[in-house]
Amino acid sequence: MWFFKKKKDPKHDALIETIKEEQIDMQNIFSNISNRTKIEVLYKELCKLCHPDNFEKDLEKQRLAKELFDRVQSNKTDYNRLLELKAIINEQLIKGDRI
Amino acid sequence: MGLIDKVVNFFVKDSAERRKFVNDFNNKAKTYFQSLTVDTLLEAEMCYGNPDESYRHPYSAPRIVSGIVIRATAGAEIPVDDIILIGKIVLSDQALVRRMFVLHWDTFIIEDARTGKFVDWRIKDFVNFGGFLQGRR
Repeated sequence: MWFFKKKKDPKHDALIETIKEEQIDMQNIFSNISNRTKIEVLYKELCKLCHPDNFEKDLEKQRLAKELFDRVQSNKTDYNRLLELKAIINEQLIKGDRI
Repeated sequence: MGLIDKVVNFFVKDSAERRKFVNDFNNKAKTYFQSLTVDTLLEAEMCYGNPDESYRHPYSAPRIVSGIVIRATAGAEIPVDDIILIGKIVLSDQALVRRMFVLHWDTFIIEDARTGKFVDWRIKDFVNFGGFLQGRR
């Protein structure tokens, strides 16, 4: 019955409306779906490259590797982000070792 | 939210927004398929939600329309691993997941149109309102 109706929370309603108006990047989703096989390969490659256990002797690099490893984990379904991370890993972790 | 509010919101306002969401998704999927951006044709549709109570959340629609299925049509059978990966890719987009959550869906299904094999997920497991609130500040 109408008199049992709970009082509306305006902040809560505003949040719902904001969510409904959020822009969704469909192109990125569809491009990731199309690149799904590449994503798997790249993700595994990056996990091997920046695994913190590879840098046990250098604590500074191990800390950086852990940070990058976490970022790879949290972007494991985003192909473009993984490509960006690959460039960062090559620049900051691998390149230094080669020199 | 009171029961009357829920019913009015669902049947009057949100059902139109749900149809719009599904139509927009299907139109974009067709466009990207035709422009060869994606190799799999995807088609969204409303369906029955999973009968398991653990899928329900405070915004869930009545069970007969609380699921959203995306049917994937490819040239060949889609392996289950690929079905899971497609689902994970879609569910990794926080804006999309939040939209499905507030539009009263509780079950997200990816189905291979060719074989009928499907995998379903609880939408509530992928919603991260905390991050959204942080981003808004």
